Amino acid sequence: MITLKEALKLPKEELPHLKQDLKKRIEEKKELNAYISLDESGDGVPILIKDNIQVKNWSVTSASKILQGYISPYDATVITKLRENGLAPFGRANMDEFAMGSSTETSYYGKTLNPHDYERVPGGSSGGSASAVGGGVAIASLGSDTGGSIRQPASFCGVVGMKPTYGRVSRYGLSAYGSSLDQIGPITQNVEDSAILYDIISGYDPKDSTSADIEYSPITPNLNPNQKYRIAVIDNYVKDASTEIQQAYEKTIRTLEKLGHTIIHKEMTDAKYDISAYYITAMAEASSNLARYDGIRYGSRVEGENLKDTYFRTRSEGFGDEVKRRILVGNFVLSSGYYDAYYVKAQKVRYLIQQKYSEIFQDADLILSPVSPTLPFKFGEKKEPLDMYLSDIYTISVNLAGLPAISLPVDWVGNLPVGLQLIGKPFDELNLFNGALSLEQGLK
Amino acid sequence: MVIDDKLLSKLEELSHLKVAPEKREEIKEELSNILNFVENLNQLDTDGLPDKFSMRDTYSHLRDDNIEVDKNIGKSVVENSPKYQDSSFVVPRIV
Repeated sequence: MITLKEALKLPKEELPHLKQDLKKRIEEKKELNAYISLDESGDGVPILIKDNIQVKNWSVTSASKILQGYISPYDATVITKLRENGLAPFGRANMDEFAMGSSTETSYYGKTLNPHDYERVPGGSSGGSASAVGGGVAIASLGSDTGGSIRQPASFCGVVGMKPTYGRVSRYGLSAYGSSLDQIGPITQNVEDSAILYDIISGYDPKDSTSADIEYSPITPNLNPNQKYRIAVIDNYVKDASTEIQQAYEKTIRTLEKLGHTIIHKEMTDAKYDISAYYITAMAEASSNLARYDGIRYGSRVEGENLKDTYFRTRSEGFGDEVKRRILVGNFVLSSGYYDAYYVKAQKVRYLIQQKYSEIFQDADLILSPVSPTLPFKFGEKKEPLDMYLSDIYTISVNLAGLPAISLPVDWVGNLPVGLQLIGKPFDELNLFNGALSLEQGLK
Repeated sequence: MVIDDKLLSKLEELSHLKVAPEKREEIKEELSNILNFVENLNQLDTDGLPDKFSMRDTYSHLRDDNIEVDKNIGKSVVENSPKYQDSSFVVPRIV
């Protein structure tokens, strides 16, 4: 597949051919189910869009039954930016319903397959976005990352997935899940493409009150893979990963050393606490954010005997099991009598996590960490919700602390890719991309 | 924390949704397991830390006090709703 960098150099008259070729490829690999539909909107280099990002006049459904029939009345800011830079939204990517999941199994549209092994999950929640790029049926895509939803599927599909610093990319037009955690980011074939797409979608946006109004220098023209860094490895984290992941981690450390980077060893608090702080926070925010889906203003409605009955029927029939679970838990942790013990406690723990990262970043420029504790798992393997939550163990603290991170493929075990992530200081994306580019080139 | 029938009913009411009767037992167990797990946070000392977490305190933006409205958005929101009449959403009779 042509890279984003190459596609952006194509003369305008070549783009219709590019789209034709893309459609053919998508049709040939239809079984992946990475695309919900092949909507087009405008001219430009085609970019696949996760089904929770608003594209004007598209049906945008967060892969949920409850949003069937909803038509987006406006473009998300990231879509406006794509259009301004010669790119165009092309196709809606499958995802876990309302981005709640790590395998794309909770989608109303059915599961998406891992392009490297059809019996295994592509990861989630941006599974369609990652599977399409990994399967050679998208040049690049946009995903969203609330607790690893870009990085983990990128790792499972052998592609590059980047989560920006919280506040760097506007959330205007992103269906809200965990508002203090969500960020839109690029999923691409390589690190340079990731920087190109990141540059396009980043920047202050007055329409998002959490958007960071700080100076922005483009990354791509300033990329320097020869910059040397102090990279921290978290020894006590890695012990919980599978042997394959641990081996890939060791190998990558050796590669980074050969490239001239300095490896330093650090410890973090047990990541089981991250899981707890994350799920309390995300579910609490989700229960509030999803209260708006009541059958009155958006999507589908199931008529009841009165207004309240209409709310109940619409929501009971419209939401899938995982979404219901998270709304119920979210309402529990916010309810009178339990709020302090659960929600407030989790917010306090976020300070501890943020402090721990700050301490490490006093001494290190970047952190190297696994993305997933295992290789891509098989469909149906994680039946217990808690087992699925535990698979996010390495990605969620980054969201809780609002840091930027990039997942890139570092190794293969048979036909399955292994991705690791580099984590950067807040708003220090340039050094994050430099480190990732250095590693990518060192692995070649 | 154990989620029993009474508490699950309260949560359904707060959430404006019903769990199917055949799934009640399963969901009570799942929710109890999730809550029992997240209670590990009690092992951490958080005394003296603030109650509210914000990513950064510099995020409140000021802007000129001008009205900025795209009226077309409002119009198409109404027109794409499940039921509408003129510029209003139609809902079941309330009074």
